[in-house]
Amino acid sequence: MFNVSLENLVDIDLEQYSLQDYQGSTPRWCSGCGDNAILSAVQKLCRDEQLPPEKTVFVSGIGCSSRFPHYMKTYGFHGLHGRALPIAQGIKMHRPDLHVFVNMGDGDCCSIGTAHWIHALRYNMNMVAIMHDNGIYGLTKKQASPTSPKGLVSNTTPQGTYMEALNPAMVNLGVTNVSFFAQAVEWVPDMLNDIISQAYHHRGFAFVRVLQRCPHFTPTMFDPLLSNPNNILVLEHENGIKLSEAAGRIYKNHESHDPSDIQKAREYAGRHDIVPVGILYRNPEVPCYDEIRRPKRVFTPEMKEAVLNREFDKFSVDIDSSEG
Amino acid sequence: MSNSNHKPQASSPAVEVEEFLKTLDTFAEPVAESLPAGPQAPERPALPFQPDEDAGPLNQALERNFAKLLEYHYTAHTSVWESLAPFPEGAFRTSVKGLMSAQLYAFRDADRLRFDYPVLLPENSADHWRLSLREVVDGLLEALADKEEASHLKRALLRVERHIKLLLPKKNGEHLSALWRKAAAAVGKESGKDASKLADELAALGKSLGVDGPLFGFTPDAPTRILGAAGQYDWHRRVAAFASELGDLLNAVSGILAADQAHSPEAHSADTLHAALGKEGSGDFDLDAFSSLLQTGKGGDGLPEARRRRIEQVLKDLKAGQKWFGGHPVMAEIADSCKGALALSRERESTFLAFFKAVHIARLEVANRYDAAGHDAFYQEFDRTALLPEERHLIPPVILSLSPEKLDAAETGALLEILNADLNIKVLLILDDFFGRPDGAKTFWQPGVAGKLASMAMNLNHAFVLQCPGANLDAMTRGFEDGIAFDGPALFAVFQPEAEERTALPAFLRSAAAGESRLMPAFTFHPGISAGLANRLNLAATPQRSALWPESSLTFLNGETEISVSLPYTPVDFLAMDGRFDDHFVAISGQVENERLLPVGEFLARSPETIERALPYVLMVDEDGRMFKVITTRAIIATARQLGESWRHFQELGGINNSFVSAILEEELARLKAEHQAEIEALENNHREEMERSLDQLGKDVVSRIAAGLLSEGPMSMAAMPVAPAAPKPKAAPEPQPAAAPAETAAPEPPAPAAEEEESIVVEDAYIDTPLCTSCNDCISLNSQMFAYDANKQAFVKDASKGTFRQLVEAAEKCPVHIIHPGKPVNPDEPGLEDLIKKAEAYN
Repeated sequence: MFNVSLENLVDIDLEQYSLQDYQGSTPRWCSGCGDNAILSAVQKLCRDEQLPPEKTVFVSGIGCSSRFPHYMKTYGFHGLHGRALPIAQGIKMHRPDLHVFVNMGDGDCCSIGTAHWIHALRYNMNMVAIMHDNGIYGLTKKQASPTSPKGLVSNTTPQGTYMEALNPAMVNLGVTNVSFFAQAVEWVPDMLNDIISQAYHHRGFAFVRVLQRCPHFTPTMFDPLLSNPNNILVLEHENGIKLSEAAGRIYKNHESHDPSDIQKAREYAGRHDIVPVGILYRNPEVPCYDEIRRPKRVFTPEMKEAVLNREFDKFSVDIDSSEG
Repeated sequence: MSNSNHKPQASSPAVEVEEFLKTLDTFAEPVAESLPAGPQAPERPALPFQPDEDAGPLNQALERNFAKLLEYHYTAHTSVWESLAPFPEGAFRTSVKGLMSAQLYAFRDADRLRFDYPVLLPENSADHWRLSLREVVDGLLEALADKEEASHLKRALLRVERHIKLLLPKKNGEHLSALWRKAAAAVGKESGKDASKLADELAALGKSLGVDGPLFGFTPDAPTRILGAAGQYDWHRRVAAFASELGDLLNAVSGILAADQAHSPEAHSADTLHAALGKEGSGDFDLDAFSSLLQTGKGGDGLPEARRRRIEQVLKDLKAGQKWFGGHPVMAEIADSCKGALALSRERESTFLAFFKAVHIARLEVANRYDAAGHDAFYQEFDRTALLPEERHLIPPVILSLSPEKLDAAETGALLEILNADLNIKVLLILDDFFGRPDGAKTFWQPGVAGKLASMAMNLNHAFVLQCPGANLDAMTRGFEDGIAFDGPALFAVFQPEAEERTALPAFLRSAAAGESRLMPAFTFHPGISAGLANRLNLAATPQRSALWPESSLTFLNGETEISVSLPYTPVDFLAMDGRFDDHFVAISGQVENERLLPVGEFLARSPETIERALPYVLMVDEDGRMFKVITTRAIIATARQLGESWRHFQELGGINNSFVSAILEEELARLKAEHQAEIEALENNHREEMERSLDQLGKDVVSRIAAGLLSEGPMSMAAMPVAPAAPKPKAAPEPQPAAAPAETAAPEPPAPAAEEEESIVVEDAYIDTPLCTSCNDCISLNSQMFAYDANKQAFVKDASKGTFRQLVEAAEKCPVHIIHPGKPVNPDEPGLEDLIKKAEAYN
C-alpha cells in the first residue's frame, strides 16, 4: 500500500549489537584458562539477547575470575572479596531495569562470601550468579580453597588438604527458597551456552557452578572428566538442556531429569562417582525479594533533596529572632 | 515577627512520618512510567487502539443525536452541532484536522520511512539513468552484509541516508558526492568517540559508490528532472551508432572537396608547388616549368561548379548538425508553454530536415550516385515524409513541462493540437491538486478538468499517455521510457503535490494515497500497440486493479485484544485528510456501536433505498493512536461515487469487469445452463424408463420363481432369487511372481558395522573442531595469523601456510580440549618433519 511497505519502516536508532560490542579490554588470564570459555559464553549470550551494554552490569568479588567485569564492555563493579552478591543485590533493588550478572570464584563464594551466598539464595533476587570453580586460589598463587579436592598439595596445605571438598551443589539445593541451580563444565561450549542462556531466562536467582581448569596451578584436576567423558552425567530434559547429536556421541552417559524435582536433584548432587552437568533444579514460582520489596515509586536525587530540605526547614533556627 | 520558622511544629512523630510520605507522594511518579523501556522492547509503530471503556453512554448519546447527524449528512450544515445532546468528554470532534486515516497510521513517522525518493540521476553511467538513494544505500549494505566487523557501518549508513534526506530541502539538486560528505561528517559527529574515524570510513564508502549526479527529493520539479534524464539517456543510446556514421560521412565528403582542390589550377600553380616543397627543395626544381606541364595535362577540369557548391552546402549542414550527436544536452531546453513547445518543435524539425537532407545527399555524393536531373527536384521538396523511420527517431523530442494553472483556453487548445499532431513533443503535466471551485464561490470543491486530461488524451488514440502518482517511481519512470521511445506525442500526467498546510500528510504519502484511492489511477496507453485496447491500456501499476477499492488489513487494539479488519481505501478516506473538506467530516469515538453506522465501503456498495437512514463512516486515528469513526456527508459520498464510476470506466476499458463481456457471459451461461438442464432431464427420463422396465421384469421373475417353487414344493431359498445379476468377479490379481532373486539378496545382509567402529579418516589439511572451541587463546597466542576466531569467538585454521607444521603440532598438543588436527605438513622441507608427523598422528 501507498508505494511503501512496512518492511521499509526502519528504526535507525535501534542498535544491533555484535560480539565486539561486548568485548572490553583484552583478557589477561593465562592462556588456556577456562575463564576465557565462560567469558566467551557470556558475551554470546549478551549478543544473542541483544542486551544493551548500558543496561547490563557485571559484579565480581576478588580473584582471577573476578577480573570478568574488566573484559565486558558493559557496566561493571569489581568489588571486595566475597561481597559481590550484596553489591549486586543493591544494584538490582535500586535499578530493577538492569540485567545483573555476578562472577565469583570458588574461594570468593564458598569461603569468605559464604554468608552472602546462602542469603542470596534465600532472597532469590533476579540475577545470574556464575561461580568459576577451579578448586584453587589462583590469583594469590595456589592456596587451597573450600572446593579443593582432598589431598591437594598447595602453598597453604603442603601435606595436602585434610578434609573432603565442600559440595556447592548440595549447599545450593539445601537452602530455603533456592530456585535455580545448574552445573556446567567450561570445555563443552554448547552445553555451557545453553545453561547460561537458561539461567538468564530464569525468574529469580540463577546460580551456575562452572567447573573450570586452571592451567597453571591445577592443570590435571579435571583430567578424569576430560579423558573419560563417562565421568560426566548429562542431565537432559525438555525443560532442561538438550544434548546435541554431536555432543551425545561424546557424552554417552546421560539421563533424563525433570528440573522441578528437588529430591532427585539432591540425589544427583550428592553423588561422588560422577559429576552431574545440566540444570539440576528450577522453580520459577519461588517469590523474589526484589519483586516483593520493589519500591512503588522512584525518586530522583533532586526530589529527595527537596523533601529533606523541607523537613529540615521545620527545625531551622532563625538566628536574628533568637537573639532578639 | 513571626516565629513559625524557628520552632518545631507541634506534631507527633507518627504524623511527621505520614506527612513526610505524603510530601514524597507529591513528587512521585509510578515506577513503570519513569523506567526506561526494556531492552527487548524496541520502539515500533504502536497499533491504533480503542480504549477499554464502557461504551454505553456513548451509544446512548449517538442514539439521541442520530436524527441531527442524519440532517448533517444530508445538508452538511454545521449549525446542527449547536443543538446536539452532549457526548461523553472527548468522544466527539467537529473537526478532523490532525486525524489520520487508520490505514496510514503505520506510516505516520515520515522520518523512519524509506521510499523511492530522493532520486539520484547518475551522470555518465552506462548502467543506470536513475537510482533511488535507498537503492544506493542498500547496495552498500548488501556489500557489508557478511562483514561482522562492519556492523557499526551498517547502522551508520542508514543514518547517512537520513541526514541526506534532512539536508535535501535546502540542497535539492546538489550532487550526491557533496551531500554524502556532509552527511558522513554529521553522522561521525553524532557518534561521539571515534567521530573522525567513522566519518572517514563513511566518506570512503561514499567514494566507492562509482555513481554520482544530482539528487532530488519529492519536490514538484522532480518529475521534470527525471524526464529530462530519461530523455537524455535514451538519446545517447539512440545516436551512438549514427554518430560514428556521421563522422565517416563528414570525412568522405571533405575528401571529395580535398581531391577537387588537389586537381585545381591553383593547386598546380608554381606558387603552390613552391609552398609545398618548402625553401630547401624548391631550388632544385624548375617549378614554373613543372606547373605549366601540369596545367596542360588531362583531367584537371575539377568538379562542376554546381556540384562543388552542393557539396560545400552539404558539408556546412552536416557540421551544423554534428553538435547534436556529440554529447549535446538535447533535453536541457524544456518548454514551459504549449505554444512555445510548438514553436521549438517546428524550429527543431526544420533544423533536422536540413541536416538529414544533407545526410541523404552526402551518401549519394560519396557513392557518386547523385544525379542532378532527378535528385535536384526531389531535394528541393524534401520534407519530413521523406525521412526514414530511423531518421525520425534521431530527432530529439521537445520536452514541455506544464502546470495546470497555465492551461487557459488557448493553451488547452494548443495542447490538444500537440497531442493530435504528428509531432514529437513529450508533455509533462504536473498536478498538485484535483479539486477546484468552478465559479470561485461557495460551490463544493469538485474534481477539476486537469485531472482528466490524461483520460481525454487517451481517447484521441494518437498520443502515448501515462498517468500516475509521482510516488510510484517505478511506474512513472517506466512510463517515461516508453513515452520517449514512442514515435509521436506523449502526455505524462503526474500527481506530485507540494508539502502543504491543508493536510498533515507528507507530500509523498499524499501522492501515493491519491493512487490508492482511485483519484489518480495509474495507467499507460500506448497507441502504437495494435493488438487491441486491452493491450494498449495497461492498468498494472494501479494497486489491486481488479477491485473497486484496494483493501488492506488494519490491526488495532480493543482494550488488550488485537483485532484485525480488512478496510477499503476510498476517496472518502483521502478527502478526510484534506482540510478544505473539514466541514464535511465529524468524528465520534471508535467504540461507538450502532447498526445504522456503516463503513464507507459497505455504504457505497448498498442500494440507495437501504441506506436512507444510515450514516457512512471511515476509521481515523488521532495523534495518540485513539480510533474514531468519522461520519461524512452526502456531498462527499457523491464525489466518491463519481470517482468510483470513473475508475469502473477505466477498468472496463482495460478489460476488467467489462460490462459487454459480462452481458455476453451471462447470456452464454444461461444458454449453457439451459442446455445442461435439458441434458439432465433427458438422462433422468431415460433412467426412469430403464428403472420402470427393470422393475417390471423383476416383478415377473419373482412371480415366476415363486410359482416354480410352489410347484416343486422345495424350500425356497433367498439365494435362489435372481435379485440382480451378480457383478462380474474382479479378475484375481496375478500373484506376484518372485523375481529372479540375485544370489546376493538371498544371502543375509552383512551386519552393519558397529557404531563404535568408525572409519579411519586420513586428515590432509589442518582443521579445528570449531564448535568445541573454548576460546582459551592458546592457539591464537601461538600464531595469530595461522589461527583466528570466528564471529562466535571460536577458533578456526585461518591459513595453515602462515606458520610452520611445528606450530600446528604444538597448538594441537597445547589445546586443552584436543580439537586441533594438524593434518599433513604443507612444506616438505621443514626440518624435523619425521618426528612432527609422528606426534601429529595422535591428533589427526
